[in-house]
Amino acid sequence: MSLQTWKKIQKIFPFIGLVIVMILFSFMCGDKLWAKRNLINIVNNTIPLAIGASGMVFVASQGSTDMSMGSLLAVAGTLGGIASLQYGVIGFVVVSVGVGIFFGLVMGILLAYFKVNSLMITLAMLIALRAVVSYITNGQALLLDYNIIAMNKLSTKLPIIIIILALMWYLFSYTKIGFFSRCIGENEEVGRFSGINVKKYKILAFMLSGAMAGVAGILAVIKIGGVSPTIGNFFELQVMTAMFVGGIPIAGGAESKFYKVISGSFILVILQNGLTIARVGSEISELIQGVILILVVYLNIYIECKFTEAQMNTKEEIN
Amino acid sequence: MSITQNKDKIINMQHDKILFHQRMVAISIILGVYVVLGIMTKGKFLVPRNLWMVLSNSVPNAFMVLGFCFIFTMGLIDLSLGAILILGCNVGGILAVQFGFGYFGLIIGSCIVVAALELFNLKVVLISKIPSWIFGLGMAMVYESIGAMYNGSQIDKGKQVVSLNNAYRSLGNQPINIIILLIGVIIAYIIYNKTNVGFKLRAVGSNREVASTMGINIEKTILLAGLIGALFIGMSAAINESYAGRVVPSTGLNSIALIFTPLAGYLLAQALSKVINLTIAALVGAFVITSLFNSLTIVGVPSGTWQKVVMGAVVIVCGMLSAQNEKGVVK
Amino acid sequence: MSETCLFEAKDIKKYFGVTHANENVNLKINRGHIRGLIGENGSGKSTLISIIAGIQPCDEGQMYLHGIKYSPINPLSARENKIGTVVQELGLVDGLPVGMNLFMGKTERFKKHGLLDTKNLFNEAEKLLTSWGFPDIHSRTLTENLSVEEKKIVELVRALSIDPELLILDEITQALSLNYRKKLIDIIIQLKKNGKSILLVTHDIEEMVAITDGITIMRDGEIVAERESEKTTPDEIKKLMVGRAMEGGYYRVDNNASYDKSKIVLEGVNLTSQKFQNISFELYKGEILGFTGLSDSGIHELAEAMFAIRPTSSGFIRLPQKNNVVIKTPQQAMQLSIGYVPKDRDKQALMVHDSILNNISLAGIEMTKKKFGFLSPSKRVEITQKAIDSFSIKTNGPNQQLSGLSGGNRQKVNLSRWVIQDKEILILDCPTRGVDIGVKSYIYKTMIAAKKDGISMILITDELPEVIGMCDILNIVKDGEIVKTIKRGPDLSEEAIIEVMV
Repeated sequence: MSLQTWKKIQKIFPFIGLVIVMILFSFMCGDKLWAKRNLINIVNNTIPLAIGASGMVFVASQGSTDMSMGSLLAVAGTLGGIASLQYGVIGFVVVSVGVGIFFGLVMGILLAYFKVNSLMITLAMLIALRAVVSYITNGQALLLDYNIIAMNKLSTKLPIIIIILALMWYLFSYTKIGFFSRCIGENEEVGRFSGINVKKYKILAFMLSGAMAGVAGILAVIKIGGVSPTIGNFFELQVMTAMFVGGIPIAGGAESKFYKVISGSFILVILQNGLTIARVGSEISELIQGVILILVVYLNIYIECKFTEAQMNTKEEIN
Repeated sequence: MSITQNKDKIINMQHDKILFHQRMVAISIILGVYVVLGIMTKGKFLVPRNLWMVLSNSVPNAFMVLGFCFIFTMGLIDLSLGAILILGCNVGGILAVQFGFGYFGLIIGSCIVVAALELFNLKVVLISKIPSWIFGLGMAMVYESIGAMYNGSQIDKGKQVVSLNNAYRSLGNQPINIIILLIGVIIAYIIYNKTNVGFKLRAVGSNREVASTMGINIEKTILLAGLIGALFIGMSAAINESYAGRVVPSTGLNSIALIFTPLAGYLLAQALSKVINLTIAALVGAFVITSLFNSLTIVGVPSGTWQKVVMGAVVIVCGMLSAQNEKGVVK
Repeated sequence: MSETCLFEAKDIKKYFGVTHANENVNLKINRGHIRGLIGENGSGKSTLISIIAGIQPCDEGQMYLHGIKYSPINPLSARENKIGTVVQELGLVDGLPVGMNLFMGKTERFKKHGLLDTKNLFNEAEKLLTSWGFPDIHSRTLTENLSVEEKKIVELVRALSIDPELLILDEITQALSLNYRKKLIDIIIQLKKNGKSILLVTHDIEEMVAITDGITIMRDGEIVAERESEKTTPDEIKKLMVGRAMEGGYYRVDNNASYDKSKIVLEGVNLTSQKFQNISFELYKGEILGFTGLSDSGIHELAEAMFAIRPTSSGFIRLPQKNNVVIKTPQQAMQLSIGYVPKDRDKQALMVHDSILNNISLAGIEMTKKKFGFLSPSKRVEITQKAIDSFSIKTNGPNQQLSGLSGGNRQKVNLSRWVIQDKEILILDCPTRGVDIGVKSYIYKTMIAAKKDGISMILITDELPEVIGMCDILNIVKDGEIVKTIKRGPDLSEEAIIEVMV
């Protein structure tokens, strides 16, 4: 197939997915899917994913992995929740985001200065932080103040979320941190030889991802109205799947674009929403999530291969 | 002797000297760790009966680490091995108890399941070029949910997953498990160091391009070595089932936490492999890690929480140790 | 075909895009003959060797062994045909012991009851190493613990272990210490006595004339001469290596060094690292300062150090015109108006799978920055278009991926991304490598124009005509030290350079 065709396929790949998913579920449970309450559900569920992905995309575009987000979100939200009892909303937000940034800094330093593989660092954090949450909550749930829970209204959340997403979009698409992250993902050596302080930007990316984990922690806590030891389970996997569904390349690089984060999050949520309405059990749900991840990654790689082949073949024409 | 011959001899002695030095350093560090553990536990750890128990407890982990030696060494990080292990435990149990095949069923059942699933994983990774860790993550979820479905189906019937009760428990307990461990280490040593597949897998792990220009069939090597590794992990499953009696499948990627302890042991073994053969270092690594957690338990650190934090920290430290000479780009 | 002829290559042609790496190469090697192959970097000798060794196929031409057609599909089949090769890049597996590297691919004979008889294998390896005169390298040592020269010896013994009819050695002597070098020469003489042939590539011309029976000289992908070693001298060989007609209008036409003697823009003081020692130099405003030497002389590492990419154990770079500030990081260098064009275009200079826009924007990031860290997309397109227009880059547009561009056009991107920023100092490492004549001449024109505008350039290259054609002052580097400095004028000639460079 020609280069132009593959380029088009790459661009609309996620949207095809969206359309297929919507048609499929419309058939299966149309009336419930499009009900107003369900649509609100969809938006509510997309928000945390989009927030998480808007931070993780910086790490992913560099070609690294952040598997810690679920546990980081839990620790951040838990500590924030505890802080909120004494310091109200401000304490909640500051502690949550601060904890996220702190652990992001730690992970970034381990990667940049100690050269430990990001997968290993973040998996270790995933396990360790989850254990910390278990310890703090003593395995029980904890209820929060009413005014915190009131934050969960969509009309309150949505404008703030949109502002945050717009900010992250701006940072990713129009500033150095975004551009340099993509360059590091494309070719780290070239980045170094062109004056990028690679260590600094690796650390910054993890800090941004951590900050968004903090925000996601806030969202999760206010949603259930309290703190529980299991919040955020699987979250990082969902975020990763959302990114890959949207078309972010596995190894990062130039094709990492912000709109893919949003579209991917939407598609995944609609898919999960449809599965829930169709009464798919929770065990099967985990299985399907695993299969989706693999399929999406495979498609990503397949299309990238074909795209590169097509690029090679057109070289002759230009000369 | 001429001057040059003397110089050669000196260089030769230097090589051996350096190796001896490094070995002494490694041994003293390990001994140092044990001294610390002893102090930490006020000597309770070093009591011979405790040490013997630690050795016994480290058997399932040691078999996992040995299995890793044949898979991870080639650069393939399969994160689904925890979930595969759990499935192996249960199938082994089913064959032993429900089909009545006894020990034979336990071992064969575990090994076949682990081998089949791992070979499937490796084959798909080879064909599709999906990064092995992503595929492992996805399959971990798939295998976990298979386990959860089995669990769910049993609960629906008012039962639990297969239990060995009092039968077939000797495999997982002293002294048989330690004997099996020693046999396992010897077999691993022989395969790793004295067979074609052993050095081929090391070549693939060290420098894939040179290996393939030198005529090594990369795909065949990965599959064969993967099969061998899977068999060791199958043994770990059988021993685990025999020891625990019942292994309940969990979800939520708990299976990855399961892998972490032997992973730490493997990383430690990697770091030691400069001076001790990897298969022996595997035994040492597993023993050290098990000792560490045993000490934590003696001191009263809760296993569900802070021990896991320590585990995460240990993995990172071991990762730093083995990444010491990393020259290339690390993502 | 006579009985004495062991190997013949006929009309070998090999192309890489527009570059003729090998053009009509004809080579004959007789039995019991030691043949030397010499030429500058880029003369085509490594390509020829890799074709004979089965590492890559030729595009046209045939090869014959003992009169029978020989077309190896890979290095293994070359080995099967009794051609042993030691290449420049290390071909050993670090994680295995020496003995296993020696017998890799040939372990069948050590199989006993399905297991590898490692005791036997290591003993045989030990015997092999000793029999060839290297008893101090042990077969059980892990390869990664050996020194670079010991690894080369292992590769040598591996090539010797097949009892080769033809032994090819590509620049192995410079990796060896005096002691091992002598042993190698003894081995070569022994092989010759036994009727085996050797094809030897080395930069040490004196050594080559002393050891070989005949020497083949290559230049620009072709064989330009053959000489019998007894009847020639190192000087004659050197002359034959170079001696090309200088095309007019290609390089500079003036013959005098011209630069602003009153302003030193960059000073290197006692730069020392693993690959070079105590390098000191001054760059004047409007000067083209050249560094040349063999590929392992340290000049490329020196370029990296100038841009603060490679750390130095001592010494520093400072800018006298800017308060003697010392350069510590690449970002700082860029802010101080220095640009760097690396040698490895596709791995170090350009993101090949990314667009022209992103590549140029990366180098010119400061130009596109506005308030609040905003990187203006319109500015990025503007500077990219400026680069495309001013350098006449053949492309569909700023968004085209670099992989779709020819090597020459990619090099234009590599260069233009700095030039459009009006950088005051440019460090150019092999700027005309792998480009066709048209782009080459364009680059030289650009350099001459830049010089007129007062831009100072450091030119690092191993192409002698380029250095002679373009530099005001030339530093010749050998084994990490500056051995001679020549000013532009009648003293600046290829003979003078080769004399000290090799």
